[in-house]
Amino acid sequence: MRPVFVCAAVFVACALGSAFGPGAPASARDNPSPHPKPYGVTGEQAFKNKPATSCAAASCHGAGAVGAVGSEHSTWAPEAQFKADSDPHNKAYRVLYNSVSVEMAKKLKIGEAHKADLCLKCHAVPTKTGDDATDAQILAEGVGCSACHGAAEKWAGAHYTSDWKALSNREKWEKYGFVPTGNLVARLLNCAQCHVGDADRDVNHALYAAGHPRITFEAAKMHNTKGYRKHWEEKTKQPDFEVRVWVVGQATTLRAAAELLRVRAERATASDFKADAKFPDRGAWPEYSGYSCYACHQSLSDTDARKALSATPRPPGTPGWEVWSNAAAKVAAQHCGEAFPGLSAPSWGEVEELQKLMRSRKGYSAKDVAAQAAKAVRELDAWLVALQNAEDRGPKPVPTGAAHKLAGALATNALGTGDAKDLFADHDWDALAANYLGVAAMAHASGGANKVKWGGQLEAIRDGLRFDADPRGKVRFDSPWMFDLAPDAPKAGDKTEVKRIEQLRQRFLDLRAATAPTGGN
Amino acid sequence: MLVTAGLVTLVLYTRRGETPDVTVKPDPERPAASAADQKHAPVGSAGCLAAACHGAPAEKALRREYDNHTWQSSGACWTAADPHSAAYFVLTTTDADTKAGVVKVSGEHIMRNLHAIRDPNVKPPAATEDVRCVACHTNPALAAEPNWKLPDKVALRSEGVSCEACHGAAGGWQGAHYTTAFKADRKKGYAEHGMKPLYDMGERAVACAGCHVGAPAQRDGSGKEIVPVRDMNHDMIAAGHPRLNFDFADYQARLPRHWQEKERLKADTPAYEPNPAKVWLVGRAAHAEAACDLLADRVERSKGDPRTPWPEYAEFNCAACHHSLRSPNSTEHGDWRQSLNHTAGRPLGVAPWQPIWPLTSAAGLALPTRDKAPLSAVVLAAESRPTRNAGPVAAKAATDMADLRKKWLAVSDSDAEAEALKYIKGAGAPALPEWDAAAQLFYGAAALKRAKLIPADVSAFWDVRDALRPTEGRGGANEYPFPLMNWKKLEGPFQVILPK
Repeated sequence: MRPVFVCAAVFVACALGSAFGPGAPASARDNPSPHPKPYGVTGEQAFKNKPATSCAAASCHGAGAVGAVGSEHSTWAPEAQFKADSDPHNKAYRVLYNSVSVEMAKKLKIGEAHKADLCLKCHAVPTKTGDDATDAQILAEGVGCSACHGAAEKWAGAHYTSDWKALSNREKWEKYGFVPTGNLVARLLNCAQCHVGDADRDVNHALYAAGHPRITFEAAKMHNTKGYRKHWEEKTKQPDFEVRVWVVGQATTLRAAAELLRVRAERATASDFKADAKFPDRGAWPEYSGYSCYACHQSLSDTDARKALSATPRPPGTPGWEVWSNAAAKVAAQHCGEAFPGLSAPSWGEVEELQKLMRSRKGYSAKDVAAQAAKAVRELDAWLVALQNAEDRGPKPVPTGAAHKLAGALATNALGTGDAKDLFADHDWDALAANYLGVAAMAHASGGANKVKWGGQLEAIRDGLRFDADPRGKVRFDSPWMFDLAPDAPKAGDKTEVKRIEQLRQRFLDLRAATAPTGGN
Repeated sequence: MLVTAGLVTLVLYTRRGETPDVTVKPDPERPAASAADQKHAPVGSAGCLAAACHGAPAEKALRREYDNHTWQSSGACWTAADPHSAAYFVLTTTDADTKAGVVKVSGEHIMRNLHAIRDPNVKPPAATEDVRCVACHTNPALAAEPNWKLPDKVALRSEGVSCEACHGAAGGWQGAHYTTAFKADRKKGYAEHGMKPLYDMGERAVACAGCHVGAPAQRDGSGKEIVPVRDMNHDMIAAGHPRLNFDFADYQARLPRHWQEKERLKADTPAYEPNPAKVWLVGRAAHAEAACDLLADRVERSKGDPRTPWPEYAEFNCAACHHSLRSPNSTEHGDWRQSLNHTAGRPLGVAPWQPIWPLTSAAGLALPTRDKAPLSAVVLAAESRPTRNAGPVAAKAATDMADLRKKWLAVSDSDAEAEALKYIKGAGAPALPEWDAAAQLFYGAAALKRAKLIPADVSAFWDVRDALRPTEGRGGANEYPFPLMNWKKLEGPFQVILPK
């Protein structure tokens, strides 16, 4: 038996346009649609981009008063004269000229990074308007306006009219190519294009090996990144905003990861797939970057993490598929009614089948994986449609205590069940980090770690997850290499001398106790 | 016993909600036994160890003194000192044995991990009942389908890797191998009766590699299994089985030899001491041959049996994946993995195929370069997409390696020395903290030392050996050395042992 969404299904939403609301519930079952998709980047679009000069007029979004309405572009752009925060997306193209990028491009043999499609797809908005100067200008803007808001060809001249405001979000996307970023599902699907990847934007193991930083997307954290000067104000206040961002973030991230897996598996099985030196190692199977980094990049000691501290269902020797995106997603699914009152938990059977497949021998079969990943994407899209419609309806407020409840659910999720209830559900660093970040989002939504009773336990986990400082200074990459080794030289006064991984388990036990229904705020 | 194991397993599966995967079908799925041909039937070592046959006192052989009577004490020598005699025993070891210091890693421990059993009160299925283990930890023929459930064959397993494991199942030859007719034409006698021609150093190395590297199943003309597949793969390594670090020349030098080396095909030829440089070359070629055969077989099996994975991670250099990700340019020698000088054209992020140096190009060695390495075709195929295509390439390479093994065996001692020196001298000191290449270079240099071609004092070799061993104490009983190598400790002693 599968739960049914209490929500407006996609076609109803279309037909009703901006008029739909809580009064138009319908069951997804009633629709014969083969694959309802949320609007946003999941559809096909072929509109032309426009340079930011179209947006940054003083009377439009370039008024120059950082932080003010009407000065969105000014807020996004870096300061010309003095150093201050701005939107890091404006640096995306520039970094392709730095020494790391130059070195990477050399190693990958893709020519110059700032000219390579492989890099530009995410580090800029590569455009063919027919005018080279315009194209170059758009490139230089980095991840500029149209990267997130959609190609402006059709909507630049329309988006301030009263007719525009009468359009539904779906119409704005489908007819005009405008990404309604006010809707969190549309927004985060858009982020996930680059921050998780898709068919055109595939940061694979070859790129990592050449030196690309790891891509880990966590929507709630990204929205509160230090130094990120936001050029908009969220209409939804805390804690509702962050609780929803976290839930929608889990859904969109896993959706993007499953879709990327499907694309990779299909490429690997396609008889007509041709390797292209401009996209190194695309078509590889298995694609190592689809697994947790530290599943392989771990020390080889025969120690405790797997056998004594973990209830992971993965057989020994099998790397975990997208542990980062999978570890906490089920908590978001089961508790989406907390973030969007009235929504019931989505069906999850195909996602679970995919997870099971990916830890079995058949997970090596690209053909089987492509088929199951397609089913999982479809299932996740149904959930995303429900979430998206709920967003558009203007959901009821998040009930009091929802953040606390989710924090407890995440702390419990990090640990096992039944006779393994005091072990890790999965000892992989990514799983622990994903659960930690979820709880951290709930603390942040509640006003900060010092405002919740379990703030101390949360911060202890954060410290435990951090990699050891390198005596040689700052490092660009690292791994929890020593977490499962006996302490090298215990610090003076440190009497416990336990391994880092065991220490982390203790801290998660503490957090679970502190966030238990009777133990929090 | 089997029923109990089955029940335990069932309970476990239910609790975990899924069935662990296995590469080779476990015991309950193996078909019922049908009698094997007498020619391939194992008979056990009792028949060999009679005092008048191979069971005479072995004090001479144990002192490494060999003469025309050594054969009489070969069985006794094996029983007294050969580590192969304990091969089956280790399958029976338990957690208690580990605690008592009997073994570093017990059979129970590995089986517990292999079946992902966490509860220390639940006994895992016995390693002695798992064909994957039995296939190498006793006479492999005893694990073949026709013998798997025959009580008299099951009883023989506890002998470990005894006479027939290397010499071949004796059903066909035990009554013939001492006859005048057999001895008059040994080559014919061995072939006709199914006795392995171990007097041929190359055939001997291939026989060793069957377990110490791995090998496809062998079948008779009718398709009946004679020897099961021997495949110690990544599943088992992940469960705690030690990696197979095999060097034929080194193992030959260390084994308590129970035979006199001599030319067996001619009567009354004098005994000789094999040239260590030649043994090393022949061993490397046989190792490569076995590795290529196994690679091809793994690819083939993965097509029909979804439980056999491809890629099989055990095909690749362990440290290619199992290394820390700490920013490479922050450590000394740290950026070599990404250095175009050392990838020798290998695409970044692609795991290098196992460095069976000197036959593949190993990172850290200046020579041989990739295009000159005899196995370059396999290396390139294993590093190209799809890696599955390496299967047929490896199958072809295996025959080339067999030819190379025969060629190297046939050359004169001085030519073999010159050939071996070419690799060791040309290699230069390893420039990188890459364990596999360093270990191979060490074995090669050690062989040349035994051949008296390297003047360095033997104590310098111990320094290198020590540096190749794990850092003590941090990683538990089964820690692998290469991710934590102390390169500085290794580099100096290496400079001392390598011929200038």
